[in-house]
Amino acid sequence: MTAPTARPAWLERPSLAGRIVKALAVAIILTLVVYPFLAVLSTSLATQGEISRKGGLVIWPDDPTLEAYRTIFSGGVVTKALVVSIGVTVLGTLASMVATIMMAYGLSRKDMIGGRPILLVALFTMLFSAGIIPNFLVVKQLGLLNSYASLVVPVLVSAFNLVVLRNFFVNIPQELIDSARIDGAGDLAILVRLVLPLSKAVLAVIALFYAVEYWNAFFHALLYLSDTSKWPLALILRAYVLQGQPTTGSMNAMSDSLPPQEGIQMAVVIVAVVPILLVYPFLQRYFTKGVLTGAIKG
Amino acid sequence: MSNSPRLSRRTLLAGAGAGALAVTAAGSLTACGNGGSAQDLANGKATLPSYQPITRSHPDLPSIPPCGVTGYYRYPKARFRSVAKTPASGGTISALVAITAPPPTPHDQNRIWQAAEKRIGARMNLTMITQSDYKQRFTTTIAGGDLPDFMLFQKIANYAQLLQAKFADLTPLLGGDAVHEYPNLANIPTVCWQQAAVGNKLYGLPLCRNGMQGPGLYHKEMFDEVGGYPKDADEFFTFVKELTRPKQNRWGIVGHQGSAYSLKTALMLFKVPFNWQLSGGKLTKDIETDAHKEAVAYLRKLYAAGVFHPDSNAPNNRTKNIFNNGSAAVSTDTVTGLLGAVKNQAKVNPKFQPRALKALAHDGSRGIVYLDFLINSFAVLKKGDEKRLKELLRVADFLAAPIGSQEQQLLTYGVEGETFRFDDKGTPVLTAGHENDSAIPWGFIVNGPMELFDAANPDTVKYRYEGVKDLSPYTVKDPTAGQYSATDATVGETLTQNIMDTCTSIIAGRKPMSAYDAMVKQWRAQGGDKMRDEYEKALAKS
Amino acid sequence: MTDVRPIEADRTAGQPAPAEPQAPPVRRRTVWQRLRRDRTMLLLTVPGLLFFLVFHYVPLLGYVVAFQSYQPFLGFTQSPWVGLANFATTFGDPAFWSATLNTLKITLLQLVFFFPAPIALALLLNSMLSSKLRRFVQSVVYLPHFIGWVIIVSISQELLGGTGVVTHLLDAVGVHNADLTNNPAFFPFLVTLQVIWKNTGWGTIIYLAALVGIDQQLYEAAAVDGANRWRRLWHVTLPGLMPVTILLLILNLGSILSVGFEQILLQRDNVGADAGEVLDTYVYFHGIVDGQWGPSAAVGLVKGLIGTALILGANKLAHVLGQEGVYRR
Repeated sequence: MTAPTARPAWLERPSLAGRIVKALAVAIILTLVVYPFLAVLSTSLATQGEISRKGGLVIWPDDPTLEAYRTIFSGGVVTKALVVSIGVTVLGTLASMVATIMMAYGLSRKDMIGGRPILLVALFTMLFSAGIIPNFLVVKQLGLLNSYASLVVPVLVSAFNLVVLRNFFVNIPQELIDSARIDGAGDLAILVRLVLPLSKAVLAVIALFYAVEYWNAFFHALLYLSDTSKWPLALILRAYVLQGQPTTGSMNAMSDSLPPQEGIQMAVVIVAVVPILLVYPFLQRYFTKGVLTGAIKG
Repeated sequence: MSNSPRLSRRTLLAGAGAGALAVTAAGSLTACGNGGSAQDLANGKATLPSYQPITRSHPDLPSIPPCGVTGYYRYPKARFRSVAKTPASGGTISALVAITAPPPTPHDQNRIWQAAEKRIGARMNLTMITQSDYKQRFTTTIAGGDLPDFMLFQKIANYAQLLQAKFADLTPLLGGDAVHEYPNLANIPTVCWQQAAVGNKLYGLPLCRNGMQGPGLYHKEMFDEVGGYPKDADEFFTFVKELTRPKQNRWGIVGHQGSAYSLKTALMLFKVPFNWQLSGGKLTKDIETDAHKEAVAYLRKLYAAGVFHPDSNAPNNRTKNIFNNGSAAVSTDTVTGLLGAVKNQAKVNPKFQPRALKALAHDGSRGIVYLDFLINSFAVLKKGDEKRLKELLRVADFLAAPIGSQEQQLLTYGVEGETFRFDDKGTPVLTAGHENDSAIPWGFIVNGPMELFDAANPDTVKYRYEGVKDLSPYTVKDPTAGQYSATDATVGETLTQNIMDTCTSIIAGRKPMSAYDAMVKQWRAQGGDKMRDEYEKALAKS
Repeated sequence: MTDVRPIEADRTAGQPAPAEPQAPPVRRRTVWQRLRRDRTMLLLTVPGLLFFLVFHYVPLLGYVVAFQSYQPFLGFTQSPWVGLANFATTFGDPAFWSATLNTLKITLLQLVFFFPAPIALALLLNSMLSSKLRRFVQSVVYLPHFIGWVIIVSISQELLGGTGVVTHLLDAVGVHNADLTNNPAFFPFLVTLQVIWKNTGWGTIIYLAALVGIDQQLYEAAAVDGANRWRRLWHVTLPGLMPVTILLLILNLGSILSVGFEQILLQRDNVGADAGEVLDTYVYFHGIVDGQWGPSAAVGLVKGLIGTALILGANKLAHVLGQEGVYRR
């Protein structure tokens, strides 16, 4: 563990000008990010009357209320969905990580036989997507309709994550792998003892990507689930967000016009973000700390 | 714009597609002995259910024709039984429906749902999909082949063939006086049923709405300030121009996304025929009339005068707020949208008087109002034997129970003492723990005439009712309502979108007025003429 | 090690950098020997491969609708065949080409302005000494990623629109009527700005992961050799980021014909279809709204083919420049 402002001996003192420029840049970025987010939070705490009066966004609520949150959490629908979402996210991320690590590692040997065609098979899936009907038919044929598995299995491996992870695996210095092999380690042992420990940062990133994907996913639930009791949080929250929005693109059909609910919409954003805020610091540890210090030498 | 190559391909494609379809469809359908093309199959005139209004609900505000909208300040006291027998005989009834609000408590904990099932006599299996996403689920369900008993319908390409192949023809069961077997369904006005018919067959149960979206909403107090309600287009222009004061953060009009700067308001103002004009068996599309062009030119003038709020194409919530907080005097929102405006108005500014725009003609003559919101959509029934269909219709009859009936009370509030109690004014109030049990979307299987009731906000009832009442005498119908055109069902929405896009650009001054004629030409070439032809033939047979 | 390596079986020879001679002895292996050697690796790819085949390649058969007048209730087997009509309809439509042009305008702007943004931010974060502050900034900047487009568009309208704060500020300094949300010429920039705001922080994560993979001793060695911070950035940090940067750049090229559908759909009316229609919204309005699946599939197929060509081409280019790219030659 290093002290917060530890500066290695070889690193020169930062110049004053450099520090000012940096501080300014950080300040501007923080403002740009925090201001709208604060607006979202404030609006979620404002009354609908105040929101209407102020035209939609409230920067500081005059009369803060938790009404929007109370609405969302009343009735237990959201609590149940929260359980579903956490389950799907945790198990889905685990399953996806296992499958992705296996495949990415399997493809990380540069001269492997059949390696390139297999990689291309995965890569092309990023470029061609079949559309909802064929996907639906496959899920239906496999008997996955209305099951939690339908939220995980059809999106088990993301080609993007696979390619990125493989790219990091490939860039692990070959010397390390060769020396492990000389020590008699097999392919699996190398994966477990060498590659994975060296890749903590990217593994954390990929796990985060998967987790966020599962957490925010609503579309498969929409197409494949029939019981609202199985709905994940993202779909319930979507129902809140869409309230009062007309169907896009269609002018006459389906135009039941409901009062705006910005307070609830903004509260929904907050509710969806909080769990990620909670998990993030645990993963952040891994991609802000170096792992390769002196690895090659040792 | 040279679109003639596209024309020939497009028409060829549509023609070939329709022809080939009919052949395949006929092959798989033994029941339909009617030869000819799919277009022909959809022609003719259906015998629609005859209207037998229920008068036992005793509304505070009486029924308004043509859609039978009623208003209630208090929950009706005397509760009658509208369905004598248990409609279903066990088993499960499934339905695919849309929801516009978050889903209710799931079935296993939902006491209202369970109580309703007990009276209905079957397990009611509802699959609920957020309305904006409904079309996707609808299409995949069709493609998957396992259809539920009830299904909220969507007009996708070639929907006439789809209806014919997969869904029950309800004409023999409901047409004419046959509907009287289902008194709550007979309470639905014929004009709403027509929206659920295609050619000579009735396929669906309508989800009734108030009839018209209306020209828009306005702030009465602002118009009063500049001279009351305008008499004609010129005065309307003068008023909104005068009310436009950007320095005070106020504009004359706010549109909404997809409204092409309130084009519809202007179309009614210039008395443009609703969708099509029928005279002597010949159809003229609205955009082909001079009035339509004048309406666009008028809006172009308004835009140039700076009358439109700069956020006139913003997402819906934003534009609603702009009107509700008085940043715009006029909005293109619907009569239904008055709900939000009136509900929060006291908290925003007690002086505001948001009201529905009344019928107004450009030349001071009698105005027109489009009958463009008769139904939300309609629900169709999976094909089955007569016994099953009758059972399903009895269930639908139960679900269509009007306010004031025991059935409606059960479906909405559940069991007295358990899921709700009456407050001192006689309004049912859901008990703690059951607040979320009530939002079951029964109304997306069938919905009777609109009953405006909100005990907590009587003003929303009053002004929405008044809006509908003021507009109703001026309503005009789309002459092609209930008719089918294969071309319209395939490319109709795309062509409409092209028109809206071009008009938006002309009004905003990004395109010259001369682009208008090119737009009409393009519409005719890309399928408009074919649509006209198909509709004319269909109308000739009805 | 750029191009002369014609024999497949010889690959191992090039594995470690040629400068270091401790590579395993060069020898040719038969296919059988290689299969034996790689069997564990191959087995590891099986579950993933099966997944891709079942959930991506089987559904891809659905592309037949590009050649059909597809009706969901008739299915793929009974829908009528229309040959290339869907392609002809689409490519004969001037609006399609206008949408393609708009898409390219926006994606190119995003490549130039958005793509480097996370790298720059990651470098800035990485250069911050105080790890507390760094962590704080890091855990704030990614938040906008979780705000949906409906809300971002609303916020952007309220800041940059005709009544927005920015517009008032511009007005005060003499730029009048600068309604940035309704300006067709500014539209591609507006869309890019929104993407930068939403996704830059989120995008840094992957570069931070690459940065921690750089051996700290390399910095120390460079510093000892007298390299100042800029030279270290140039000679140590950037080469360390290069593999993932090139990879992401190539993958980005593959999706050059797709831009945020929802984001643009919400705003296209502000500037009209001439400036605001992109391929994805075109497909939406010319296929999906009407339930015509053929034209949508046709466009999807062409987009995929172009993306494939771009990815393969860019990958070749990366190899010529001595980079790994997505995969080796």
